[in-house]
Amino acid sequence: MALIEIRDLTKTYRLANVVTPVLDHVGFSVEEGEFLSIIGPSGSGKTTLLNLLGGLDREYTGSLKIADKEMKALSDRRISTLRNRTIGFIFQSFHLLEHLTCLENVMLPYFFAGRPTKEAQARGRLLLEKVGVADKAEVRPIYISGGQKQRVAIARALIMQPKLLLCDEPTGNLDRETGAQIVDLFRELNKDLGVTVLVVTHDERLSRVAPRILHLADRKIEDTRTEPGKRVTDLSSSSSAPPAD
Amino acid sequence: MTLVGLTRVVGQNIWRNSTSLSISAIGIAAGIALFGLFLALVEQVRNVVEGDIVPIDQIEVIPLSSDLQRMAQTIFGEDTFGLSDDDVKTIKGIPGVVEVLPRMNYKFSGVSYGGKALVGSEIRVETIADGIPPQEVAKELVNPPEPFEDRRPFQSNRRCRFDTDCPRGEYCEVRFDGPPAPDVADVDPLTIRRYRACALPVPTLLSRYLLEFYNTVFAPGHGYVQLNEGLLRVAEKELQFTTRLGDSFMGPQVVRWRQRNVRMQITGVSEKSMDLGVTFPIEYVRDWNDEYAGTKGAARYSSVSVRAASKEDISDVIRLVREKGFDIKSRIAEQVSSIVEVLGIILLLISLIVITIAGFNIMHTFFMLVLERRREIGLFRAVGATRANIRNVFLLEAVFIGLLSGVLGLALAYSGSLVFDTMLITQVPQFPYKPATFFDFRPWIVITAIAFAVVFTVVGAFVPSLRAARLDPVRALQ
Ligand SMILES: Nc1ncnc2c1ncn2[C@@H]1O[C@H](COP(=O)(O)OP(=O)(O)O)[C@@H](O)[C@H]1O
Ligand SMILES: [Mg+2]
Repeated sequence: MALIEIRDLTKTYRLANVVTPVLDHVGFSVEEGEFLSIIGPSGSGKTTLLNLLGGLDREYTGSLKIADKEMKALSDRRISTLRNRTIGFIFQSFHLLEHLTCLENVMLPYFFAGRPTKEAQARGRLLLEKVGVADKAEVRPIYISGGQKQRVAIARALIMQPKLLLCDEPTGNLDRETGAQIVDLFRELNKDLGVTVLVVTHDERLSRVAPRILHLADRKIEDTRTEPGKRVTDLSSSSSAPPAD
Repeated sequence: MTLVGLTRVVGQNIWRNSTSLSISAIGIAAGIALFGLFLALVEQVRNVVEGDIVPIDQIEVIPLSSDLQRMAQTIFGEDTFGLSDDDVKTIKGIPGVVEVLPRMNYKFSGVSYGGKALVGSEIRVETIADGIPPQEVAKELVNPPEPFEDRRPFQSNRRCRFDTDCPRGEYCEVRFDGPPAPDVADVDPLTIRRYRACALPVPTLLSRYLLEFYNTVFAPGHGYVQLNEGLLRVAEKELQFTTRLGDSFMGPQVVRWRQRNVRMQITGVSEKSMDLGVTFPIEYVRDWNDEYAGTKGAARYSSVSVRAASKEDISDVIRLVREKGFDIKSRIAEQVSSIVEVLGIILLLISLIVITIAGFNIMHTFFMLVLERRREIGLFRAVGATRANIRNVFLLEAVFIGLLSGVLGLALAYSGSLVFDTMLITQVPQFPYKPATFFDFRPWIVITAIAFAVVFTVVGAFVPSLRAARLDPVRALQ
């Protein structure tokens, strides 16, 4: 059973009289533990696809199944549980709550899971350590750098031990070096925890580390697989051709 | 979502938005303050009116006064009208009635004067009085200077010229033989026998209301000494006054020469005494009515005071009394109560308007909050909050703010009541039954006020919280 199964997925925005077709009968599937990057020019529908995959947007035709569940058929309760337990979101603009400490931000999904706070604290600290910002637990996000913010956001996405990480341009607000470190962190998490990672980027250089790439263009998806990826930080020194393994 | 988690989120949100929320909360608090004040005021006025001024468990039964009966009264005279001993028995037999007290009105006029020894100057007033069977109050009087009863069987009736001719305790009074006073208007005074004899003063009861009225209105106005029941007992020697039977400030009722003076002795204060007048043993009133109104030994009572077992019983008693063919004298308590109630309703409406406006203000604030927190709501949804979770976050916030503003409002109301009381006690002169406080914050008022604050805040926050719950997470996160 594939983690993501998409068939004939069609998405069209209708705003008053403006009709914007974004996805037109696309189909692909993703197995558990895969690492994919989604690339495409701005406005090609990358965010739209991610919102559909995460169940934030459930207005589509065709079939979209996550963990064998058809997204548009689920009740608000069930889709919320799915978002809580199975999916972790990472956004370009981090979306950390500034009135909470980093640790409290990480613990947030636990509130909605109805699980004890003690457990959340323990797991939260562990994850902050894993993503390398253990010392920022009691600090509020306004006092930390962009890269650190994204690390906190990643810890938050991981706290419920999801199967799927959906990352929408996670490096978009970061400088090259920091962005590269974040993508490496995704690779690491994918390897260590076995979590399936989908990273959206318009930076082709970053997507190259993924063994599988979905190209979005003209409302269609082109699915390409490459040989196992490199560490981005290794790539960044030579900017031109992909280096040999 | 756990309640602890929810409460944490809500607590943090309230803390974060404390400025805008406290502005809305103050609106609700102001409304609740007015609401609580008005309720407490109405409650206290009702306490005073129903408890002290006229006990709500008492009614005054009078004869049914249909037009036909009034006609009969004018044709056959006073005696056919009124309540008989049988009527009194009937009324006493009504379930729920625990006490009946027949009363007989003064059917003539008199002017009373006295009080110089007690209050420092002579008081002259038109006499308003009635009579009751003395045995009904005899027991409740503590240490009366003279028993409350018909004293005439015990007096010497010795002929005299001055008080000093009489035995201790008696005085020298004028008496007439012959027809009653109304019948001698055209008679030669010399044909009527006039003589003096020693008599005991007439025992007299005051009402608490009269005492209160004297102390708060009459005495301060004239600079007289204030009286209380204790002082009355101590000053028993001075508690005599004189009534000139047949005289009146409104013009003499009977010819001057047929008027005469009777001495009265105040024997105590009783609830059974008439409100704004004095009460004598009924035998005196009956005889004076004969002498000065020509009622020829009237055996009928003007009314019967009835006390019910409790104020809950009173409406049943009233119904049964009417069924038996009697009427009820309209009661001051009812009139005052209905005025207070109408006033209370108007004031409550005002406070409701204030709270409603505050509720709209809350709604506005919450709409703003929902707008401000769009991204947060979107994030909550992304990490697993259901629509119900989002709605509950806002509603619970509203509950907290409602509780807070309810408590704040009551605190405001209470401080307001203290200020108001102090002002009224120091700035406004005494008036009858002026209470120590004008507010009674009963537990039910406190609970109602806080419940109202919560309900109005939650109602105000309801639509905004639904909007928050329905927010499209994708748009919210943009
Ligand atoms: N909520 C929306 N309503 C209408 N059109 C939208 C909406 N969101 C995105 N679009 C349109 O859909 C297309 C794809 O947008 P998006 O998925 O954000 O692209 P990308 O993330 O690849 O830049 C764009 O043309 C955009 O204008
Ligand atoms: Mg995008």
